[in-house]
Amino acid sequence: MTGDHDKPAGEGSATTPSLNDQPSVPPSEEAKKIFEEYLKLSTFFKRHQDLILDKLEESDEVAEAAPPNRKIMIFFAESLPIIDGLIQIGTTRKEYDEALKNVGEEIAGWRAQDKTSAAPPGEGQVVAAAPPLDPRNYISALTFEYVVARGLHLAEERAQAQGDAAAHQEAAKRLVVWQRIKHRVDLLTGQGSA
Amino acid sequence: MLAKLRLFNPSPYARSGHVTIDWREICDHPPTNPKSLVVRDQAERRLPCQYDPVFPGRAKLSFTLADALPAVGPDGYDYACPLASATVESGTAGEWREPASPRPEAFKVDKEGKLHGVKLRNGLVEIYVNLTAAPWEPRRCWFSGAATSIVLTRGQKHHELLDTNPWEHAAEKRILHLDRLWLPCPAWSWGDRHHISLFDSPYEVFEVSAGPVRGSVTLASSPFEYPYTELGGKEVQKLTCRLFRVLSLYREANHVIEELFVRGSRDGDLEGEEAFDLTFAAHYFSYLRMNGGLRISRFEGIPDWFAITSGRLAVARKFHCYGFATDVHTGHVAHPSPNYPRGDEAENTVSWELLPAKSAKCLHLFSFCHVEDWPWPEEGDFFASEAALAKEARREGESRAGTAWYEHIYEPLKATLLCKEQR
Repeated sequence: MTGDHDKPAGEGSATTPSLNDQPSVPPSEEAKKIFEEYLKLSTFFKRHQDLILDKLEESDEVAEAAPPNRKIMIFFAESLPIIDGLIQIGTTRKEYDEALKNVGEEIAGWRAQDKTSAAPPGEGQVVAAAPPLDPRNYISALTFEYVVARGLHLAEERAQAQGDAAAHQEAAKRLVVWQRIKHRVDLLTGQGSA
Repeated sequence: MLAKLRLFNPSPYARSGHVTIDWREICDHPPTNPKSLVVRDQAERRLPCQYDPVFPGRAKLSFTLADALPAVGPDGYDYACPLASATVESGTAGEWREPASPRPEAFKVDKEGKLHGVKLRNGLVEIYVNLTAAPWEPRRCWFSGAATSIVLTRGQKHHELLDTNPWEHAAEKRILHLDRLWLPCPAWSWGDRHHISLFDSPYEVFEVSAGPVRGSVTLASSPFEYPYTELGGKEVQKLTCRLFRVLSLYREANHVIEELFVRGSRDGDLEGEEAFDLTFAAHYFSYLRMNGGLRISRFEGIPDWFAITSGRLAVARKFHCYGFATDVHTGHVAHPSPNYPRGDEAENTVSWELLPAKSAKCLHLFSFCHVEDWPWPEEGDFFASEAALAKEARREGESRAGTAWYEHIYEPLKATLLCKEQR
């Protein structure tokens, strides 16, 4: 959804706490801006990170048990409410309304640039089919992208850490899960293909 | 035989379920041994039944039908033509089969020897009603009479209805919160209504009963005064009053039936012959934290019921749904609730008022629309699919609330007295 357009981070970005020290696949600047600046979710997410990431892994498990042609949709049905809940509880109403306003203006800007499409440049198939782009959905998708970048980063760290064979095997298994989650969320944000 | 009852199904479709009748229709005095009451249908089968004392003069007899009552004809039902009959006897003869579903329960909840609340449960729903104003912290003293937890069970899973999120407990969540009351003043009075706050003073448990048909609790608010003057008089008179709430959870039901009445008396004896019912208007407040916010479905011109559903899919692929129905009509349903002091959470609040009445029967429906049971699209835009499902779930929630109103408030299965024992 964010595509590869590089928008400058807001003024507050330098001082806003960031959770991604050096992730191998960092979230887009747009996702970072929404998560850290607009929604100010960093502190809340840090507090509940383990539970949220565990729930996302459970969502992947449910999706994997679904028929092959429904795995992706089931995954989003299971996982997006977790992200929506994170936004609903972790942000104040005022912050969320401001985020909606800012994102709405950005979307309007993209639409003005390209009147033939409601989606920003780089829009993938999944979301491009639903014009006009709803700022609420856009915020959910980019928040998801940010959270998954964090989950993948932690999974990679675990896989690289020293430990016994069993722990290493478990970490490798979870890394595969997070790579799969990342791939699916890329579909939602328009950065991947099915 | 104590009495013979006529049974009616007022609907154009066959219906089974529970039937409740005022005991005073059957007998002028309470049964000497309520446990020995037996209800039999036309085929002489013994039906699950129970007697609930509720309040002096308001006792109920409930029983569960063994078969569905057939549909009535297109011209509606006729009180002269019952569809079936049942007899009420005193004795214990005859075996009866307890349904396989869990028996409803109603009981008090104590903490460290102090009464804190009451619980109703039936295997599908578990409702906890707070009796104290400050159950957790002294400074948060506004929870009297509120149900702070509604847990729905499906298979082995339990889900909270009032909050869609599994983290950070929603400390404000509550429903069934009858927080205020007003009683009309006499026409010659200075004011037009007398307001009473109920959220900050404790409730007492007046009666608890449970059996094979339903679990029931009668709650009594703290006593309050109703001041008035006689016509032409100057001296202020006072009535001592209490609001009574009878909450009943039937077997296999996902709703609670609530009956309300206000009793007042000059001498403070609310059970005595001098006591009487007063006209009142009740105000309900609710706080529900649902994904995507609250969606209120209320149809113009239908003041009897409304539904509240979640705006988006919640965790575990379900949409939350609450339905409210009443036999006295609701006024405006305010969302967010006006004057709620926590502005940032006001979006989670709803409040409404009943129109004035001497008694009111309300229904609170708790349910989830489980999307995992619905056909999920194979591919496409997830958000568009979710929006379509949310719309469908909203319709489903509305349908459930409307059906509950029709079947349990507007046209319940009816029993009337055919004949009774002559003494």
